[in-house]
Amino acid sequence: MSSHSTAATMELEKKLTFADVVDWGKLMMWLFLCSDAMSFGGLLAAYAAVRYQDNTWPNPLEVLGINLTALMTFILIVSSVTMVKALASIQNGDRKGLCRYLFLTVLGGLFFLGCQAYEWTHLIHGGLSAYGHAFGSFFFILTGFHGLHVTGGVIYNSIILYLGKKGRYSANRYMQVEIAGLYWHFVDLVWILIFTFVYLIPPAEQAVSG
Amino acid sequence: MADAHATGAESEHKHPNYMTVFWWLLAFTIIEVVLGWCAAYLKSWRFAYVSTLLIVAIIKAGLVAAYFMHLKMERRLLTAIVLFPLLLLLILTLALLPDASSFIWSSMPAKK
Repeated sequence: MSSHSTAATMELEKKLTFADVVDWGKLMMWLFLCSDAMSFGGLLAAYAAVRYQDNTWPNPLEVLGINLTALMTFILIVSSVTMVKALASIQNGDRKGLCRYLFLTVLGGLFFLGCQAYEWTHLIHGGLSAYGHAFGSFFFILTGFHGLHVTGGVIYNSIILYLGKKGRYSANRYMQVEIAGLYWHFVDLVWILIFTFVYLIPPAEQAVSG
Repeated sequence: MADAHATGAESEHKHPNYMTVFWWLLAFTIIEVVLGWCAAYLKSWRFAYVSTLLIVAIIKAGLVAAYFMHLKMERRLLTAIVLFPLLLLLILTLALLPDASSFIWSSMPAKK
């Protein structure tokens, strides 16, 4: 953006396009997130359709257990808070705060992945398979696809952290941090939905009791 | 939501009170978990149970989108852009329901 404005320039600047009022990178990340939402949504829609018609669906509350998952949900929410605090820090010019909060966000993501790995191991040893009943397939595909996103987010945030430590960001230059934040919050948001749909909803009453 | 003004020279960054949003998210999560623990006792209230969970999940997702992703502070057109795929997803889910019949497939893999 030019810092000097003649009357003619001011006339031109009045004709703003949408790209001028929303940062291009931010808009593109939102569009990517919308497409990613369609991917997750497609999986969830398929899950709904298959599950809806199946009266042999096991009770996730018994098979999966929600205590560890509740902790995972909490950690991811906390990591979203640390991410947004990282952005708020650098918007105030606080580079140390940015790096501290980004580090905590990365830690939160790693903790989530650790819990996920532990949960998967426990379930696989207990006999849950991705190749048996569709319950197992959907569980591993949904949580696995999400886990891949978390992994990508941890790498992404680590790169931003590295760049932050090198001094790239300031109160006037923080858009990359904000964009990384958008991705991370999306990952949290999707988990909120997966947690609800996969873990918390029991099957409908069977026609035959048992 | 209370607005906390930035202490920078340019108070362009009025951001929401993130901790307030966090406490709400925590409260809703606790509600979900407690409902999950009580699910066995709520069998006859299944519709209310599932509806509550869905509403709470949507509220949580909305809070994250509006305040952490700052959608509420952006142009409304951006919110419209973001909501459009969600509308498509709703249509997709409804469109798949006619295929949801146990006469068409089973949840077990086909025998070799």
